[in-house]
Amino acid sequence: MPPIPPVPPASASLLSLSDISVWAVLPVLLLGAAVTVLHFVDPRFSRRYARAFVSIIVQLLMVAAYTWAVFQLNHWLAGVAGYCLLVVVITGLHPYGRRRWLPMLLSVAVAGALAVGCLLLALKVLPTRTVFVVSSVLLVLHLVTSTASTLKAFEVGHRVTRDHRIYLLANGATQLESLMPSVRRALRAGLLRQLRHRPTSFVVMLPVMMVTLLLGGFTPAAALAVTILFALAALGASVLSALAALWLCTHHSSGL
Amino acid sequence: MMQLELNNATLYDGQTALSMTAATGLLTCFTGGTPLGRRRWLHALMGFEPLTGGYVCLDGEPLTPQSAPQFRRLMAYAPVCLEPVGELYPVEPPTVEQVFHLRRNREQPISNAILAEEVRRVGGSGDPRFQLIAVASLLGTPIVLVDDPPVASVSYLRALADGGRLVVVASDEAAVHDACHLIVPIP
Repeated sequence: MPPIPPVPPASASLLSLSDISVWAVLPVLLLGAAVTVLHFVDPRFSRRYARAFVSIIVQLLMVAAYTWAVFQLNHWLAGVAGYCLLVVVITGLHPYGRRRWLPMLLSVAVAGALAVGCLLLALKVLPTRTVFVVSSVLLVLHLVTSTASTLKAFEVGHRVTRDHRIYLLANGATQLESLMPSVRRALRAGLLRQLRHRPTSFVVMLPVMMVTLLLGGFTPAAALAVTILFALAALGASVLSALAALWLCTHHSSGL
Repeated sequence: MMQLELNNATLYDGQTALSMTAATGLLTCFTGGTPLGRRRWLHALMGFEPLTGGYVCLDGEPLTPQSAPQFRRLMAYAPVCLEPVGELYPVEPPTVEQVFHLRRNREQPISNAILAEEVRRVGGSGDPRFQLIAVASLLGTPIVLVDDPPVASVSYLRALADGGRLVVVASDEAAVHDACHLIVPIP
């Protein structure tokens, strides 16, 4: 077994693809072995597992392409176009996003754009591209997840409470009043988890944001400040996205 | 005098058309068929069941998806029951307080004493259906629809009809039929 070369110091040049050794095949083999075992134990689950893995790889490739485009083209139009494409693809890749594509797309795009825009306005100096890329990627991933869980809870509640809504509509409720109990339940399902510090995408993305900013050249104090601003913007964007998606769904709902 | 009509109406999976006319001052009863079938005809009068043929009309005005909310402003409905749905995370049904806090109903005078008195007049406590009928009556609408009323409440419903309201019930009880002015057999 050849000796493992020492890791060059951080002050040295950045790593490239040629610096990755042939032992990089080990994680691939490990994954292959795991999927093979899964296939024998539970074939249906192994297919879902494989699909999820492929989806993750596609998302990573897309994020890499998006980052490259923003940094290489260095134009605000490239950023906007890249952001729109990012929203469309991540929403389309989400299993629930394909079912309620339009409400999720519009709500995530608008809420995410508002949050990222507020964050960029808060920075007096560059590097805005770093903040733009990392915040837009993390925010879109988080918003798609939270909006999807909100809409899913709304649909389930809407489906099982037909008799309750008939009772309200027949006794004086407007369309919106009859839907409000389902809307409240959906908002709690989608947004409350963020505040309970469970390992949701919201909790995970803050350290990722912090580390990315530190690696991008921010001082620890600046990285912390931007991360806190990002957390506030993300919470606000979650609520806006959930409300917008619910409004779009209830607006076009046929009532019962 | 108000008239609520079914004019050769056919439910979307039904085969036989139904026609009937309920009027102010009359206690009308849907009977026959299954409890679900009778409930669906009550829902059709409120615009909640799609019709493949015929129409519902109130004083000659046909009920359409656009006009249904306006029609329902004249109606109150007492279902046979309101239960929580779901087992893992049960969803509680609407409460009396929620009904009277709706924008349309906020002007109605209501209190615990008024509700209790009305429930006593309907037939007494013990059966949740008495409270549902009391709530529908207290809303003060000219049309009251009741699904499967208890036998003890029939005299109250007859008094409502005699007092100038249009009351439609759905029931298979002989005692209810005896008190009704008009019996409509379900095909």
